[in-house]
Amino acid sequence: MTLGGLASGLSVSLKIRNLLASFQVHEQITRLVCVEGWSAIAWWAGPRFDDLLRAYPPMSQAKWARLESSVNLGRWGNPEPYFVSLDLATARHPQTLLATHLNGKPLTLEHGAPLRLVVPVKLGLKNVKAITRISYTKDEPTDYWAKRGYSRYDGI
Amino acid sequence: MFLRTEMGIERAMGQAGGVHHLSDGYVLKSPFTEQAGSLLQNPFMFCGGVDDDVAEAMYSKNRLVPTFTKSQITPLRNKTEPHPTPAIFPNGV
Repeated sequence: MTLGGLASGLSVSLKIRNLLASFQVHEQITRLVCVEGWSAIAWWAGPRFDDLLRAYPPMSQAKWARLESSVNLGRWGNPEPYFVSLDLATARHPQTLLATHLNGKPLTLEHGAPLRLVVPVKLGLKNVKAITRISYTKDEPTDYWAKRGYSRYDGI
Repeated sequence: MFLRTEMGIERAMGQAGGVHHLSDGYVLKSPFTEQAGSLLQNPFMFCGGVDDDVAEAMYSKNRLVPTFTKSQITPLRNKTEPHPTPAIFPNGV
């Protein structure tokens, strides 16, 4: 995973094992709510997004994060990058995790290995899987579903 | 306010019944009834534009969502599109 839009002006590349070694892992059992009307209760574990923000501060004007999975596949198996916008207040929320584990085991590819966003104050579509890049921006970044007419807020 | 919310719901139901369901491969289900229920529970969830602003204005950074016990864990569904393979991480994670 790479980080951009940092106060340092640098682009940082992080390995998951380094992330787990550097940050405290938090566990929480929360409900994931899908826009389609179903929900599930799952046990997540991983560093808090807030801890990452403290260790690698965004540039001073940043108000948003863009989280991207460049490895996402579309319906027919074609590459289809997925990306969401997240305001930094929500990123700093104590229940917002960069999850590496689900139900006590490392994430599977189906559930977003090696690292996914868990943001229980938002609908599931904001909980991007297999994060490959996080960029901090001053202006609200584009969002995959908002571009297709959905709410850009997607709060619960 | 009521009218705006009601209009937002109507528009959002049309949206959610289209692109997202098609993309996620749940087209064989009946999305309309499920979404109607969740929309009634929380009309702000699906309303774009003005209603996004209302939702943002009501946001509290101190609000925590409920947490559960391990005995309450339920199976987590997933999208039906293909998933990445381990080959996407040739240099490990």
